[in-house]
Amino acid sequence: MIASAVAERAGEGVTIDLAPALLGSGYVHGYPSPITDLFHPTQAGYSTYAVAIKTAID
Amino acid sequence: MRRMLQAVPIGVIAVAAVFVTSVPASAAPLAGTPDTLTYVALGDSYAAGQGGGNYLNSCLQSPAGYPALLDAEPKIKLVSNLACSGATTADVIAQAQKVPRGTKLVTVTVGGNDLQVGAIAGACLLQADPAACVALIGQANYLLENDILLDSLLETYRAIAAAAPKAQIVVTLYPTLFPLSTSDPREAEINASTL
Repeated sequence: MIASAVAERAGEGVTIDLAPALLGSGYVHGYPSPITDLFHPTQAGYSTYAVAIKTAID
Repeated sequence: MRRMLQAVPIGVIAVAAVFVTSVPASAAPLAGTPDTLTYVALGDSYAAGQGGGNYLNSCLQSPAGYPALLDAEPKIKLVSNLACSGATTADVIAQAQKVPRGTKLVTVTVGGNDLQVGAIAGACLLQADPAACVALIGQANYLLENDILLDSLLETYRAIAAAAPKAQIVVTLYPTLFPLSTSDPREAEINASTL
């Protein structure tokens, strides 16, 4: 939501590209170190991130 | 995000980041063919790859993070990964000062730590401190409702553009944290609020 709001004002001196939404790319269960890594994506989630960014680049 | 903080306080976990550390950046020389996208990664834990494991440094940069994954692409060369867990927009503005001017691609994920979402998650979701939960959510809402975070993000993006005028700046959103098929209404609402 924040980035979307930024995009609405992107003409204010800066141009950005938004990576597509990252559907289901995070997962909060089953981390080997839940205290450290809780609420962050898994390795699979980051692969989805990379795909989203490549989409924005292309 | 605003709706998430007002209606479902625990939803702030969607942008949670925990650590406040930094790592010195190297002004790596740009290299590659003219078609190579010289690339610098900026941002917080989501940019560093926290959650991916096998951390390389105190910033919790992971080989599984998206900067490393993009670096494996034939046309992309990661010349500097400055992302660091815990980074706020102010930290990313400092990161931006280290971006080589000729960089062609910059990615950035930032904003969650400005809202102190790690602290909110601890206080609210883990129910560690209900009073702190309310206070932290109030602070986060203030930043959102008064466009203070938005202005900080814009300032961040401008700093990146100033440092690397020819770079494509790709801003990532934060991910949905739960399976889209979840039957847990709380998880579903958090997912919906993230999008």
